[in-house]
Amino acid sequence: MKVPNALSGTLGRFGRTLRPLFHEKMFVAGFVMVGAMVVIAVFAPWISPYPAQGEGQTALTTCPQSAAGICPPSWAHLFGTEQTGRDLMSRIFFGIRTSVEISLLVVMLATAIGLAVGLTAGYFGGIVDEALMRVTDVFLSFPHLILALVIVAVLGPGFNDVLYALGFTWWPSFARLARASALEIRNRPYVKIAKASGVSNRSILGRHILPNAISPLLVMISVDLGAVVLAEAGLSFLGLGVRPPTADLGVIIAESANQITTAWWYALFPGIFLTVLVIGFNLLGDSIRDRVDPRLRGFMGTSFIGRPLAGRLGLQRRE
Amino acid sequence: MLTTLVSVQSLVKYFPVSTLPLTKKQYIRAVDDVSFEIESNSVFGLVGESGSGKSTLGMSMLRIIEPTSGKVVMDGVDVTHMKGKERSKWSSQLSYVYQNPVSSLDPAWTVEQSVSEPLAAAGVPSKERRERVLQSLDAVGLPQYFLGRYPHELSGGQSQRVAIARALVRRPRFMVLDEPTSALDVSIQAQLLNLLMDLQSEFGLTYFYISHDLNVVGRVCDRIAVMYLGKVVELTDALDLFAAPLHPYSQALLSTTPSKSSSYLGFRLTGEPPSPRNPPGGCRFNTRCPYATEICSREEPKLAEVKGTHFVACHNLDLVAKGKIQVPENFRPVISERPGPGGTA
Amino acid sequence: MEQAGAEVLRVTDLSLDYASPQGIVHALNGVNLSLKQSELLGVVGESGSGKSTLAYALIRLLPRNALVRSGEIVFNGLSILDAPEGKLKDIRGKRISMVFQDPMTSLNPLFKVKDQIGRVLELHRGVTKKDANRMSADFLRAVELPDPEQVLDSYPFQLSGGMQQRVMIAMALCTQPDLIIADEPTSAVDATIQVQILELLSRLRHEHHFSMLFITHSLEVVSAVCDNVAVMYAGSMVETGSVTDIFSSPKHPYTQALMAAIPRPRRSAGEAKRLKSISGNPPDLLSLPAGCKFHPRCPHVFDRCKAEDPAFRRVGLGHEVACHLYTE
Repeated sequence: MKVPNALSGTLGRFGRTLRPLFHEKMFVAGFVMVGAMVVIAVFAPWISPYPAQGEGQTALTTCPQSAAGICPPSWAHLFGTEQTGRDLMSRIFFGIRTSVEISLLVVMLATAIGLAVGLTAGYFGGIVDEALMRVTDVFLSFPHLILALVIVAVLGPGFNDVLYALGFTWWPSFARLARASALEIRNRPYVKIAKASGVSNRSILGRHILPNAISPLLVMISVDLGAVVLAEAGLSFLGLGVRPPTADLGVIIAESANQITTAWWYALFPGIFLTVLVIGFNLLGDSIRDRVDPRLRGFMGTSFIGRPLAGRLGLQRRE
Repeated sequence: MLTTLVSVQSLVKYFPVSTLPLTKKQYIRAVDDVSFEIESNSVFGLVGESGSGKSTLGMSMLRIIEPTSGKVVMDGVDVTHMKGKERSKWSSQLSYVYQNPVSSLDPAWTVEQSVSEPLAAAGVPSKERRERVLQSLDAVGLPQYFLGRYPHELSGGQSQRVAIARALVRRPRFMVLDEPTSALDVSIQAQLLNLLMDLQSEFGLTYFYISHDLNVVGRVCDRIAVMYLGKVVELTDALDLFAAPLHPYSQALLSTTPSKSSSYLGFRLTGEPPSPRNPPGGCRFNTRCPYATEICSREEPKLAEVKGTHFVACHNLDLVAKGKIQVPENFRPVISERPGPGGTA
Repeated sequence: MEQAGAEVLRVTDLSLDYASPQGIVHALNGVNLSLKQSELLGVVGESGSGKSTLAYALIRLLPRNALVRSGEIVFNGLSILDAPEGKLKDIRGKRISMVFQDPMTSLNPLFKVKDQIGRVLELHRGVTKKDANRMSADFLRAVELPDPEQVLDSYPFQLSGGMQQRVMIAMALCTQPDLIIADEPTSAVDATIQVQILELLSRLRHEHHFSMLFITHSLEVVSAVCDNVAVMYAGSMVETGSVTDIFSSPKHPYTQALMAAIPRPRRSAGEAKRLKSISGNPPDLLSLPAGCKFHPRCPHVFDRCKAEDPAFRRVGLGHEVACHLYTE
């Protein structure tokens, strides 16, 4: 499968889609926010004031107010420190790293599985479609929280726990979208002509269906990146996810819950960064959707819904 | 020397319609027992309106859609059920040009990729492919710099040329063209039709030209079949059809053009065409035909030879010839002659 | 032009641009138009001629990136370009109705026909629901739909293309407008239905006394139903006149070339299949040539054409051309 060729075609079209996006304020805002977070995530070891503490080394600093080591913001610690005396800023930066890493991995995993399942189901139809969709339904009905509990019980908590729990519950919605795309694309003239020319199914799937199905998925991917970040933070907050000493925004917020009246900085700063990250992803997703949507109108618009619906309901055309 | 290249025999294509369980299965009878022959090096036209089944017929002949029953014979060989290697070899002799040029090209692919796809599928080595793609593009009048272009960078006429280049790249003998110029402006249509005619003589092609546009069909086709609701109602040479159509539906169709000949009574069809799901019993046209009699609602007329190469499916040809209208409510004469753009031929 | 009464619409020197990421698109360039009462004017052009833009400009339904550079549109004494939006809302759908090309997307698939026509009647003529139903049935009868009550009770997808288009026409008629703008109303239907609809429009125009602006790419359609024709190319009018004049003696080289390019069935075996196509490429509205917009493709081009944009000149009664061949 010569994917690079097809990808370059898709990217060629993306170039056309993406460039004008930069004219839109929403996209730029989202891009800046996400960009800043990604930079922080990538360069955390270098830009954190106390990288070792970010990674988990405990340190007790002299802190007049509290014996537990929680100190308010000072020149030494711009965001203050958290309960084991570690620098909060460093912890947050490393926490962002965890969040970004997990959300990227989860979404990549979900996209890969979702595309594979959805495109195959949509393209081949029939019993393959039915079988794959029932499997998808099963996974769709798993709330990620319950799955996470089960996995924690089996594997013990940690990075992998979150990855599997979220990865395995997130792909169904990608699969459904991919399937809808495949259903529509396989009826397009160029696919029919390719089949008539004797092109193999595998080739059609990889070089025709896949590149054209990615566009609508792009929107879902960008919005879901934000949703995964939140879900991951939630899991960690409940203790089902990443465990200390690994830095994680959800964990930090969980720790701060008890101290919220006395240590305002403890909850505020991680909260701000988490919010910025999620809003950034959402803005990106929204602006891409606004751009791509008119093209989607063809298959998500009323004519697509109206006619099959009428057919299902057995409504006849008037003579 | 006249040789038959393609022979279609009793071709049938029904589409099952999903109905609720326990109810009778319904079918859309898109193509119902159609037979005709296409000569080598000729342009065979298929005329009909929407719902006539003409696109389905075109796709069934190439087995893009598999026929429900009947035979397609090419060069004396029955190709209807061919499989595997034999089928691949046969399909390399055919191509299909679709109506909407923009949607017949993959928007994520460059012109070069689109045009070379049939070659890749046939296993032609990549070195040879580019050369043949260039030859094909040259034949349709597109210079080399089009190789790297994407469909959205092309005009309608250019896109259609690319689609034709792709259809030509395996040197087919038989091409099905499904309304290739309907989506194009008049001036571009003229350019493209000229190109198609030039290609036909240059490469010795045989065309199956499907269209609802009578003027185009009357211009470029040698022989024409008129379709109504899945059946061929008239089949004859193009000049003959326009000079003296015999079937009432053909007459009604031709009455819509300004170049109607005076050999028949022109009239307008009333009402809407029936659905291909529940075609009328007997002759499918009987509900709208001004010459319909009792037999027309009982018995389907067979496509029968009237003279030489002229075939018509009608029970009441004598009434039609005399202009003896049987059902005045179904008859509305052509309204006053107006000047048409046919001032200069 | 045939005289048909008072002037309903006058467009003077209308020029309009679109701002696009690739540059300024000069969609309309100095368009002049005059429409009288009960007149059926056909506006003919290919893609890029500006005919649809003209239609939307007349009711000021233009996208945000459109900019009127100059010109005037006067409808029954009212200046469309200067009128406040409130006044225009009053006119659209009531005094000026539109019939669009694809009825499937113009009719709301979620509402029954009776709700859609009924709404128009309630909004613009202030009738009660009961009266609206009765009037709707009358109008459906006027457009020759058999069994109007059934149609009223149907959803658009339950009707065929031809029936949907008749419903659109009924909706355009029911407010008794002065002007109906039809943008390619028969392009999406079959030939036999198209002809029925064209003849219907012709009849209705005489019964209901509205003027009609009929926008199409097909000269045949124009010949079937219009009184007068205006031919457009690259955003300008190039020739206007009665249908008889234009078809029997087209003066502008573009009109002539367009007519020669229309395929006609062959009448003898000896007649060639090839058509006379227009050389060159369709105009690029982003970079129009100087002088006459058609000059790069004109078989009769000379120096003056490349420099100077020709003005309209009379060449017969009601017959005007914008071409230097006639400007001496």
